[in-house]
Amino acid sequence: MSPPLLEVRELGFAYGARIVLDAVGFGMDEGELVGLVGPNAAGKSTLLELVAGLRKPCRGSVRVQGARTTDLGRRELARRVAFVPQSTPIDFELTGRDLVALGRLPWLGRFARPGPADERAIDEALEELDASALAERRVTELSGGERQRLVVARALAQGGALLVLDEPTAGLDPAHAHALLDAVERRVRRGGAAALVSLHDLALAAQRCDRILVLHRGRLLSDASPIQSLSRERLRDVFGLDAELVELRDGLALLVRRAVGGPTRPRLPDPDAVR
Amino acid sequence: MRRGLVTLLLLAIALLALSVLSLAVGSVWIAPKRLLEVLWAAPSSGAAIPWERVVLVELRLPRALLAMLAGGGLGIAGAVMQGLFRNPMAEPGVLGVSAGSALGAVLTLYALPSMLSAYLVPAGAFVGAIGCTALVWLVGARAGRATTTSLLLAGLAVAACASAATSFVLSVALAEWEVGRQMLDWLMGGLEGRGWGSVAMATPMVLGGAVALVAHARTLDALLVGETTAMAVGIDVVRARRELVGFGALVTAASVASAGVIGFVGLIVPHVLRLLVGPRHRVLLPASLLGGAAFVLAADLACRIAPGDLRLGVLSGMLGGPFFVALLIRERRRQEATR
Repeated sequence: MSPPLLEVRELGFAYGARIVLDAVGFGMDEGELVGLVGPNAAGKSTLLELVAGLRKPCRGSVRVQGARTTDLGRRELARRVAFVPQSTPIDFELTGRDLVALGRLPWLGRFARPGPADERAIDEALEELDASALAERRVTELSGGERQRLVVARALAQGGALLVLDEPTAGLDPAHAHALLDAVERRVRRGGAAALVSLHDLALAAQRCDRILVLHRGRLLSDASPIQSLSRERLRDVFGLDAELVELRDGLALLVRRAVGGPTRPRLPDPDAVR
Repeated sequence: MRRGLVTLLLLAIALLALSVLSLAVGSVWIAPKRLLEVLWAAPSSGAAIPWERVVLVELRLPRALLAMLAGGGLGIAGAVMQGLFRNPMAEPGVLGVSAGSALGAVLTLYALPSMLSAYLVPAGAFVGAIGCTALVWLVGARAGRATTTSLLLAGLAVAACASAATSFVLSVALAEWEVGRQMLDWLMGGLEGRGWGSVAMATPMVLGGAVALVAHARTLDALLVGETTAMAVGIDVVRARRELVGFGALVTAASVASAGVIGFVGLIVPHVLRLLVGPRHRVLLPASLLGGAAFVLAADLACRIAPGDLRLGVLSGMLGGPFFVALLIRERRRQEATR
């Protein structure tokens, strides 16, 4: 039997004395689209960076296809895991195609030029995100949504079995957000791949993900179906929302009534303190 | 891609034409046709060596080669620094290389007797340049993982200290008129009186360093979209940055040590070429090498033709400044037009 695609065990991480993640454990198999949710500063980005091998765990381990990320070289890791960071600064006038082509880097020798297989992967990824028309445009001239499609296309072109996306839909309007997740889902359903996606939009996460991980103050509170993970109590205690997931005939909807004074409710500035 | 290759070809042709011109022009004109005859003819025993050959081999050829090496080195190092720091305003001196070499040269001239120091100035400049970059690296890297920002700030600080120290040595040395004059002479940049020794020193460092930098072309491409993405596509960013800084400093130090501080080459040449061939470093780096070589060769040629005693560094700055301003204005117009 082949090892699971992703296996996270007893994962701990701290910046100095500040503990960010504490004993986080979960697994993923091929074909899964898993959502990661949690309030701000829950440790989502750190967890994703650890899974992608961009940081070294302080405790515990991350295994991708059976191998510890700390044992794999950067290139080998990049062939297995394609990571999209929360923001991608682009100040130089690369074309859309140049940007997507970066995904082929882990597969190229130092002086080798991209071969037909690489070009095919780039074309495919552009098509999957409906971004073929952006290939020859300058990235600096594109809108945020168009740019984000190219950034995700880069990850698809990379061809790793595990896609790790940090807030890929941040700043996108609903149609673009869904279209982006459609592309990720198609890749996952095709087989041989899985995706771990952090989302701040709980409704979107509930509607699109097979499973939802709830991270709160560095601890994994839940790893279950959307209905189980986003229960009324958890929405109140973790997210400070008086809300519930409602099962409709063809999907889930999130009904939010109001914000409640939960433990994570953002502290509003005291009007008296403002001069 | 095709546009890139065409640009490279045109640059190579321009460089060739300029080098022929550079050999032909001087206090005595040697016709291009005569150049080949003179250089080709092996000095057969007994036959008198034509006087042109002496002029060419001893004076003009090493000078032209050195101009190309220094310019090419500054061009490619500038392109690398702009890519590494993701800032089109970066130039080869950001890591304190230029300031360090000036300090090294001035100290050498001050400390050693004039007969000796004349030969050792390039070596002193080189040591100063590498020393300053090493210091920048140590200071910048202490704050954790040597992020590009901390390197940039450390570069500014170290360069400021080195410049102040250079001014100090200069002010002390001005009491001895001749030493002070030599220092100012070197600081203004130029290729007067350089011979085959300088060429022999600069060639392996500039060309070897350039090859190492071109090998990192894709790394630089990936760094353009941020260090996190670069890591995500399999690049060991810490190591890559160390190598890019190291080889970039080596090439810059060799260039500055052989021709003095020539401003603006490392800033303008890569900037202009990026507009022509795009930001991808596979083409941009070789293009900057050729472009920088052509620029300094042309500037040196202009210095030799121009009446009076025009210095290379002076001319480069005087041409470069206005040109750069014009470029910025044009860029802004273009951006406003597309908006």
